[in-house]
Amino acid sequence: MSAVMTEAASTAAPLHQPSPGLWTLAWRRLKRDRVGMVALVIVVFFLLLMAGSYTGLVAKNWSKEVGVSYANPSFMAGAENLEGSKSAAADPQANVPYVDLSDIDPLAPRYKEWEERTAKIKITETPRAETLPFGGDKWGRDVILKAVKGAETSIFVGLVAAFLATVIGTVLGALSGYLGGRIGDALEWFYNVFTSIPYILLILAFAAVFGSSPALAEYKGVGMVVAILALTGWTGIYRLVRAEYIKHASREYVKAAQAIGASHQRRMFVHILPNVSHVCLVQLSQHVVQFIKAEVILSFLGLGVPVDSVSWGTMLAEAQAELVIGKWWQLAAAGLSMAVLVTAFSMLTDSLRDALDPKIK
Amino acid sequence: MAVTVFLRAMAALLCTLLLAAQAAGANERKTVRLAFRAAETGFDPQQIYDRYSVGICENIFESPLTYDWLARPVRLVPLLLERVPEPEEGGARYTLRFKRGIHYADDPAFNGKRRELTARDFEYAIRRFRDPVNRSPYEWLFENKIIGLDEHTDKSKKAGRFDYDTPIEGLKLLDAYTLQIRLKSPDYNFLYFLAMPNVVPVAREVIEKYRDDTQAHPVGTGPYVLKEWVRRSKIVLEKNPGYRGHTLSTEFADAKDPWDQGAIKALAGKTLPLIDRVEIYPIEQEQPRYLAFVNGEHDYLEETPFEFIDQVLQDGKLMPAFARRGVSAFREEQMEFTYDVFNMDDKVVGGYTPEKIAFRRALILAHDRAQEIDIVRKKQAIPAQSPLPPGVVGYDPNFRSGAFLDHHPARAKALLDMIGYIDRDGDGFRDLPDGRPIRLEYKYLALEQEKRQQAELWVKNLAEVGLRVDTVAVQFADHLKDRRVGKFQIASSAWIADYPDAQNFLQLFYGPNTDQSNETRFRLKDYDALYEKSLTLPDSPERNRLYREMNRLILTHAPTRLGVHRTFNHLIYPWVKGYKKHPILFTSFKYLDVDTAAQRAGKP
Repeated sequence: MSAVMTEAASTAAPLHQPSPGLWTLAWRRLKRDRVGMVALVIVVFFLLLMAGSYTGLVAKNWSKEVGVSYANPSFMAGAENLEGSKSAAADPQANVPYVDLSDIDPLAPRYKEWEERTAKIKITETPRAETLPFGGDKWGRDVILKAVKGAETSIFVGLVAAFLATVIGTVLGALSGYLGGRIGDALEWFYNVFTSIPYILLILAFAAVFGSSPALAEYKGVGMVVAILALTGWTGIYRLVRAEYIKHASREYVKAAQAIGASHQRRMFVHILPNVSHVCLVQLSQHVVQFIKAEVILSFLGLGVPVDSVSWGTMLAEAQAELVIGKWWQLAAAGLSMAVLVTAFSMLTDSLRDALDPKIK
Repeated sequence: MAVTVFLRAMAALLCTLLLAAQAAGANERKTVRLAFRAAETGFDPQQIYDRYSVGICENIFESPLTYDWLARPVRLVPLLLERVPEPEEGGARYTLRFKRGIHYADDPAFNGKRRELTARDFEYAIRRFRDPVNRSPYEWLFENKIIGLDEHTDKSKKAGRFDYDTPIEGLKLLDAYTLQIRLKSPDYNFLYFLAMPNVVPVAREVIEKYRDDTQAHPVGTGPYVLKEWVRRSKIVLEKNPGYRGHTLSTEFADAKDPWDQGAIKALAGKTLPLIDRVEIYPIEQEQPRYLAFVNGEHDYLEETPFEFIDQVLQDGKLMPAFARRGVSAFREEQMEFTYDVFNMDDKVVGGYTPEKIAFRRALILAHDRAQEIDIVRKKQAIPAQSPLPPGVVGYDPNFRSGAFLDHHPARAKALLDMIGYIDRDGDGFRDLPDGRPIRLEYKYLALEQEKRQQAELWVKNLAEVGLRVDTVAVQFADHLKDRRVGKFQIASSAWIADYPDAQNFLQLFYGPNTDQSNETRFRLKDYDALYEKSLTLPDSPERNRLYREMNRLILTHAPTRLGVHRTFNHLIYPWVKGYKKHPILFTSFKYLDVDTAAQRAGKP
């Protein structure tokens, strides 16, 4: 019986096999693209790194000062490190006794209690290494761990801000391109207002508003950077998506959808969106790169991630001065990480575009 | 024969060309270019506060007195006055006799006429310090000081318009060139006020003509005029064609000091200034400022960024790369101190109860000042024991406050535990005794890595004792304003001597100076009483005792975290002649020369 059933199933399969969907086809095409797959592996690796760093599985102790200031990389163990030595300047008043303030000190009645409590607190000093695997920063923190932790911030900022900007740009572009009319005009006006302000100035204006608003004080830091970049970076995506929607709105498959009673919403986001998704994806990946760089600028200007966080942006800002004094390793660590991710992301974008474009079979 | 004639003709032509070139060189305009480490705010002497703007005013305006350029310790000499006034009535009266024939630089406000300086201009300037419209940060100089001026100011405030005409008892014009100032009580530092680069006469017609934009229209009697000003980007000064000229006084020069001898060699006997044009570029970031000098775009670099100091100097000697190019380094232990101000009006860090004092003291003990010196300041600083830097009158080398200021996380933790600032919700950070979380905020200057590192140091040091601090980076002008009006919780600051007396530093904590120079907003009766008493005394052991008491109160009540006294290194290319840095005056343009041929050859 079972043999009969199997046979029946196998013979019936070719007749009823559903045609592969857009995403299945895209995945098949992507798998055939070697460069795309390598890029995907690299991007996934960085995403895992970000997740590992976020959960504390990796680079948990990135802020620990384990080396001397600007500790040399291990492979430069013998090289001179002028910055690594402790203060040579003797305290000119070392032999002068401390001034006695007990007669006027409001805390004087509690001196004894204070001393007793102090005696109970143990502070252990970590010995500092002269060298670290890929060198140390000014404070003696391991540059590799710092780059990993920096990846978490930078990728998070780049990805989330780019995703949000793409969502904003796509939704507004779809509304404007598909509906047109007064809604289209209003959105066009809104777009023109945004683009008439130079991009960096717009970012700074948003940063100033976010920074000075007591209501938003709680969201300062990475969240603020993400919001600023998303709110200022959607315009390019909007323009392209709008053009695509204008083009697709009059196509036959949309008319067919209309004929079978599909709502505007369904036509816009179920029928047309997959056909313009390659544009959105390319824009998304381009904006990831752009926003990672924008975060660098914001952090450099003091409007980006706070000083207790690290990002590739803050590392590059620090490295700016370090390079002049011959400490290249922080620049190398942040720069290389950024270059590899950005290149991989760009290549993955190309591959995704090819894989998702319905015209490419 | 023809060849000989041709050769002679060529030789003659060559000589003519060489002579022409030499003549052209002699007439060549001398220009120096340099950077300021922060942007200016404007050039109205009675409105400004920052040393960069004051530094420009130093060259455009002239104060009644100034300092001898070479004398160390510093020494007052007349500039606009005929002589340094003698204190009369035990230091309560000063008679200022202005020189005749000193004219302002030409300006449309004078309707094409040459405008001579008079004593009334200085009287007018003193009134301007008190005019609320100007919101002068230096109003304290003339507050509770001159007989009748406070009452006059109060009356004007009530009337809604400052009266510049009604005579004031303590400001008496004896004639067009003589002003007699009568003080409420003796002030032995008053003469120093008269040497401050912003305590300068201004022409009333200029102020009234440019009423809404006096910051952009400085017109003075000094050696330079403002030729071009692109705000926060470029300042150009050019020689004032109507300036009478000055000379270098060598009377107090040190025969063993090579800088003094260099200045004498380059400048003595000449009518100064020699520099025709000064171009100043405010560059806040350390790296481009440093590289502009290294690349020869700037002729000298003052306050070499600490970040690069190991590439410039080792054990006080110039590194070969700079020595080969003939660069020299002027090392200056500046009369200044850095400090982090606690806003005493703030609900968390402010207050005068033992609990609040203990909290601030814990913050101070948590801060690692040795790391600040080693890493942020690259060992170019010494720890401050009090606000008074070495070199000022009243500095006490036997005052050592280490136990109150030196990094001691265990003592900081113990103190916080003792006052009940413990972690109550288990989030790893301490809370107030009522359970509310403590979230501090530290304001610092944007753009400079050095300042960012200071902020980083606060964050990590306070985290070690279980406290959380958010950092806010702000632009220089905003930082100044926020500190002045108390819009901060903890903020970085620094003070550089206006005059070489301890009073100039101790006034930073004098209650009535709140909203002006007292950024901590510290108001302690005992301190104010000591300060007021010290004003009436000349330099004496009794006054030093009062200064010591004030310093003790600053330590116990902790309105500030005392930082360091910085040592700055100024780098000068060999074509700049006569350079010497003055400990009080900020700029050196008036006492410089440039070898233009060497300058051209040295530039990229």
